Amino acid sequence: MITLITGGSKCGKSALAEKIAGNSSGRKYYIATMRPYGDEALKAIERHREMRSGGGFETIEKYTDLHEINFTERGTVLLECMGNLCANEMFREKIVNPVKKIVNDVKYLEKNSERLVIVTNELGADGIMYAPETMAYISYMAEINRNIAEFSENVIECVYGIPVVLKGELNC
Amino acid sequence: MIFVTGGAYQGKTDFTMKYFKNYDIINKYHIIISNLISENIDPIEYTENIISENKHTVIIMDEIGCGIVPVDHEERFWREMCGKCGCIIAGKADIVVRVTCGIGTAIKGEI
Repeated sequence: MITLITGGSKCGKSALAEKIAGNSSGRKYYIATMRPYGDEALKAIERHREMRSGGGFETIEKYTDLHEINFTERGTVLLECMGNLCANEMFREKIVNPVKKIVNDVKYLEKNSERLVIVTNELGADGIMYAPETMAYISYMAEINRNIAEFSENVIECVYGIPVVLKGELNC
Repeated sequence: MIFVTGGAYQGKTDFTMKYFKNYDIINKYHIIISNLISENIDPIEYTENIISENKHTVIIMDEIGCGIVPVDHEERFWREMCGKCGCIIAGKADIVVRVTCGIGTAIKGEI
């Protein structure tokens, strides 16, 4: 069962995702996709670690190729976040279209978990025309979101911390 | 306190004037945050004070952050502060309305 959480930056998506995922019993895995490079990334990682502390999550740092993860037990998986995963899969030696691979990897995670919570980002609403590779990134992200939303049970948008149910229901 | 948000130019002010005309209005809160930052005032602390002192008030603020992370550090910081302050306001508000194409949807409480 997938719950997809979307919304803008710093609008409370992680807190909501942790609340939904933390609600379940059994093993809890947190897949961290942000590469720990640079001061701001390190600060963000530290902030998220603090938020999760005491929540009983086992952290798996995996920046690409999520199908390589072996779960010791089926449980709840929290994937955070799609924006980083997409950038990591896309910007290699050359730019590749990561949509199919990521959607398949999400299906792999779904197959190997009781409950999958995914944090993604809404990127297409600032009205700015960027360089072609950034526009490609925006469109790939949107395509990934649309694809995953289609087979997700619940899709929630977070607006300044307020959950708005777009599909299914809010389980927390 | 009431919080009205949504994208730029979606009709937030008109909506507020129509439905909450007897309230005090603090408009363009995202610009206020920008001004606070340039005056070295902590936007989070300021926001907490504003909402505890203004109960019969509508705060209007653009929904920021649904785009690419800005390259510029100051823009990034402003955007982050908008998110954090917006969450504080929405958390304390009795009603949160999101306006799109002039149409307001209550996403918390009831109008």
